[in-house]
Amino acid sequence: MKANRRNLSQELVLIVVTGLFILPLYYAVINAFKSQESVSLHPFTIWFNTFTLKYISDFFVHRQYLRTLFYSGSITVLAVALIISLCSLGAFPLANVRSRIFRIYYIAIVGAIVLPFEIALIPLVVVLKNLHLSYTVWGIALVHTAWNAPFAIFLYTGYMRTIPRELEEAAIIDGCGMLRTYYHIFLPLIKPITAACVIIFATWVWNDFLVAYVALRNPQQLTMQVNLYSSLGKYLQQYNVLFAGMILVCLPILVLFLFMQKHFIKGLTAGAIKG
Amino acid sequence: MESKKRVLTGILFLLPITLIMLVLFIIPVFQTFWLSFRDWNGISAVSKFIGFDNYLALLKSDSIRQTILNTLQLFALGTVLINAIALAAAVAFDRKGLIHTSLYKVVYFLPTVLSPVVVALIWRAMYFTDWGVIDTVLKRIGLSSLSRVWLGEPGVVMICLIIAYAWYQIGTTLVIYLAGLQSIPVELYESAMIDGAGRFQQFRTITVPLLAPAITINVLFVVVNALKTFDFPFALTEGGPQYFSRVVTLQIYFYAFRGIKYGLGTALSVVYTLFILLLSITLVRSLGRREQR
Repeated sequence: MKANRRNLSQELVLIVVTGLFILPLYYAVINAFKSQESVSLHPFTIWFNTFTLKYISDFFVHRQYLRTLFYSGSITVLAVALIISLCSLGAFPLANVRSRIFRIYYIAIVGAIVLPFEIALIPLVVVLKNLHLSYTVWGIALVHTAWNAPFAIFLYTGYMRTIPRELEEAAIIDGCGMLRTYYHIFLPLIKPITAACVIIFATWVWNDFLVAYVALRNPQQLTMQVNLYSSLGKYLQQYNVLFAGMILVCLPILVLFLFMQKHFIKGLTAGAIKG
Repeated sequence: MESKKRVLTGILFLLPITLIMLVLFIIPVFQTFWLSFRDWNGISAVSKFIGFDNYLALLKSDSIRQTILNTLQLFALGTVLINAIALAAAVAFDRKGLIHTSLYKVVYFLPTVLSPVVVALIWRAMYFTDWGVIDTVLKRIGLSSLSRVWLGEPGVVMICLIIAYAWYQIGTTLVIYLAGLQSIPVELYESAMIDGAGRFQQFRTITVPLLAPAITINVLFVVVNALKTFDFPFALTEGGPQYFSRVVTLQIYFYAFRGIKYGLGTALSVVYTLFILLLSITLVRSLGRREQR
């Protein structure tokens, strides 16, 4: 009985701390639906004292929500498709073929994981221009592919190494070539890590700001993150619109997160095992 | 012994992704290295070899010291803060009889899925003077004298940035510690309790050693992430006031796009790359050795 009471009081402390932790999010959500006047009078209230959808619709209409959704969506889908297909293919020999070339390649890949994108920023802008890829969805998706590839290859190689060698040997004896072994035997077996990779890289590409900011400045083609950031100057005095924009920008990934939280947590923590 | 054919096929497998990396990752990085020894205006095809002049100019620039200091603060304080809080929270959540453990996990993990721009804009509003949450609370409890322009004061801005950054990033670290704790067999604690070990002693002799792999992963993860971060500090303060919250990644961006000082930008990139590589190798080595003991 006594232990029970102690557990209860501990739980209460945890609830209060967790409540404080989530406060910034709650504050953003609640203020997106309150009127301008009530926000300036009572910036922080426990519940909606006024309720309006004006700012959500403002962001929709004045900040081209659907258009930016389309650009962010296409870049994410394209980049994730490239990362998943090309990196799982590339990881196959790294995990299965014993040769010095692949050992060295793997070490270089692991080293590349820690490099920040900014170090290539200056030449990259010129490279993109020369390839006629700047200001295009393809250009951004390819840059994301190149810079996320080391980590994706690292994850895939690690996972493929846990698959028993006998499986591949049996496939060779049955006359299966490497491509068919990869496609028919390995691809189905590595589904868990593919699911994790889809979540990790979709989140990262979707949330990216810098690549899109420097490579896609055409005002007709902004990603959601760049669009939200550029709204800051215009709506600094009307922060409600920005709060509404934040909700809209996060909505797709939040919906995914709420439906697949277990996979998300598993995937993104698998993502932490880097370096 | 692998046959030559298998090696060749393997190279073919790696070819597509390697080509993409070559053009958009490897060649640009080497170009950065090459350009750091040259005088280049960013437009013309020609550039002149100038030796280490860019590096010397970098040393002389007035903002560079503050930038380096900020970066060190972010990754050192950030690493300690995030890991300490996450570990403490994980220990608190790893109890039998808690009703909402998985719910807590989701709540603390939630910010890490949000985009850096969104989190930065939320914290801008938290730190607003007068109507921000922090100032509102201070006013309520009668401490409005403490209120200030949180993101506008040189001595305060980095602390504010690090607190917001820790809030943003703590979820992943917490979940990894929680998974590590849950893999420790309960019997160990039970027998330690029978032997008369106290709470703290149990933590020191059982929890910490068995958690070593999780600690390694978390420290590395937070360090590398903090050193790579750009979007979050950029959207929170743009490095301001002046350069008092500028970290190296932002400085490189400013050299490239605001000041058009490509020489300084490439030189700083090279120095930073070497620093990150050395630091990660040292960390992997020393943490790995500690783990084996």
